[in-house]
Amino acid sequence: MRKIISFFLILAIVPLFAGDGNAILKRIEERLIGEKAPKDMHSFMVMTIVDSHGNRKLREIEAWEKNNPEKDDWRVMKFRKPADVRGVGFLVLSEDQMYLYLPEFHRIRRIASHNKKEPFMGSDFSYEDMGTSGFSKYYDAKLIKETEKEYVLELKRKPGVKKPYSKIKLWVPRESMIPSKMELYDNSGELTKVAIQTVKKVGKYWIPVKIKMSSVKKGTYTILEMKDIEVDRGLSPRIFTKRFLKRR
Amino acid sequence: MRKALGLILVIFMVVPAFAEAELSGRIKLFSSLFLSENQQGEFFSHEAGEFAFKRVEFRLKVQGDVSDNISYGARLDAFSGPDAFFNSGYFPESGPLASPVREEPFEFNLYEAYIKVSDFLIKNLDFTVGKQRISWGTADKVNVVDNLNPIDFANFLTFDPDYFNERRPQTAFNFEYYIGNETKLQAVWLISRQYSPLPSGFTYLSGRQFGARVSIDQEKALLKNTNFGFRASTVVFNTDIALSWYHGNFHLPVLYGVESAKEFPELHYSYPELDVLGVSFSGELASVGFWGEVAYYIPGDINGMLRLGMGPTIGFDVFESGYFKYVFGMDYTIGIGNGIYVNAQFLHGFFDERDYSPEAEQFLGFKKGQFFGEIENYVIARMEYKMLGDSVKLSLGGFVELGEGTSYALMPGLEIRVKDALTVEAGTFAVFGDRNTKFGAFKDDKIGFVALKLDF
Repeated sequence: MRKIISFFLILAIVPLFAGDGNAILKRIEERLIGEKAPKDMHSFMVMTIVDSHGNRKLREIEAWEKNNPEKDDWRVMKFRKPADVRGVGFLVLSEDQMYLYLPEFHRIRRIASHNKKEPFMGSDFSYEDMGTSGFSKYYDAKLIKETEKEYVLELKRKPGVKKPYSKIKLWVPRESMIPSKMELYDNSGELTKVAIQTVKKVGKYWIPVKIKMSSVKKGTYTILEMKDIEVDRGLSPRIFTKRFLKRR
Repeated sequence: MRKALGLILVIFMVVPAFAEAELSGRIKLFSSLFLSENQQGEFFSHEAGEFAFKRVEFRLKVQGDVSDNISYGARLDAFSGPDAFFNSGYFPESGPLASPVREEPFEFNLYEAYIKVSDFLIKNLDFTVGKQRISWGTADKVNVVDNLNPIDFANFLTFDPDYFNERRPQTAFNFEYYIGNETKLQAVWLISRQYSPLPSGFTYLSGRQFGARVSIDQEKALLKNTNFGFRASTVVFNTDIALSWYHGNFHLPVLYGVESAKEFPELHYSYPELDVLGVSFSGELASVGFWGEVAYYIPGDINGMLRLGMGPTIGFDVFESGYFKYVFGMDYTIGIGNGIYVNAQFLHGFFDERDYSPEAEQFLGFKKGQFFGEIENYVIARMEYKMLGDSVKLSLGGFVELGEGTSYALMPGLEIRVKDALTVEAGTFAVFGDRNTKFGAFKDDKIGFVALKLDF
């Protein structure tokens, strides 16, 4: 009997060892943007940008997110600090529908997605990094290592896909199924950035609450900390509108 | 004036304590120099190295929420210059109360002050009342459908890039009704006609050409002489589109008559009625941002008049019919380094240009290549590159004026973010090409500027 159980257990595990990283990737995405992710989230982000000389700059952002399992997530960000960007708002309804609010002119401008690769607010995060569009649409995953505590996946960009990273390596603890470390490789295959994530349980969800993103060549890094996280508040769709963007 | 300023400052200091208002503002020093000599310029006369403009600017803004649905905002702007007033040869003397206002240039302006009520009377209706900026259009700065607020023509000629093609807030009742998440109907009523602030010396310059006096027709402040606008906007096939109608007046004066029969020749100006029907759109295609605005300008009837010497008075229509203005543009970030941002627009009709009747062209001398002249085409472009964690921004802006002749302007700039919220900006405005064009007239007025800004 035990032999039979062992046989079936082996059968169940073999696909993973055989390199079916895509199945693991799906489980990760369930936690990040799928059924097991928070339905919505409100938080305050503190961004500390550290240059190669150790000089620090602070940015503070209030953020609202709504998880749309079938479509792109919705997101609103309002900048609170420093003073020269206070009140600037950013609304993302899909990968190609984004708006920027400039309070000085009471003006909302539609912005195109061509700046995805560029630094977000001068940080080590790009606009792309700040997104939550998931991986499996754009990358094929392969399981390259498995221990009792974690999986290590290698993601390779699918042919014809326009994404800034050609390869991504993920370290994924089994407990949270949220990556604790990511290595991001550029088009020439060189390591360009490393992200270290601290993951915490908020309510019933595992959520990255602190991310340190380092730019390998530049020697700079940015720490993004999420504070006062609230999940599943039932955020109204009215928040993710141009109308809300203009509100203080 | 000082008392008023003091009182308002006290209000700003006290109000936050009660209503959790947010105070913010800016201190800015702007100074520009002529880089070339021009002793007989059409607009300026100067030596190389002579200061063109010096100004200290102080903004104070207060914003707050009275409740979930009621918010407010107000901004005060104060301007001062370091030079003293010499009025008609007198020494710069203060008033009897020793106020420096009469000897130091000082201006004070309530830029905006409004109350906003969300879900006013019915759900999804926002109502904003007060002095406010209501911006329409999708283009980058050169909006041809944006007519509810007059262009700040005075600041346009300071060559301060912060004020390039900026518009002044106006007192208005602004209703915005939202249908779903992406559709909005808007109705705006402005309680008076709108007039652009004109640069100092405008009247003198206008008359100088003919050695003439200038008279301006002014309408009475009647209910029927007020402006309004309607706009409907939505998203179709992932493209933002809007239809708009503005009914009001020309914001800049229209020359309609010349009389030389009197002791002094006289130029007659007015601000005729104007309707503007507009369409605007914006979206993206293959990651390239695109936008466009098409506006059909319908001037009200205005009779032109020419009377030279003892000859007969010749009458004519200043405008024959309606005319189009439009702008189309695109932007993209080229993936080199941190990304080079490129923005290009084609503009048909600068904010001051109009399509006059052939008689008006003949009798009043309207043509291409002059301010308030006939409509011309422009190609406007800029590139920006940020580096060192957004601490440094290099930019190269410029435009080409395509009229009877061609001129082009180059505006290279450097912006250094010394610390968070503290920025130093330097740049130039240099025109080249045919002197007989609108901007070519500035070809010997090349300007360099430096600005320091602190936001708090």
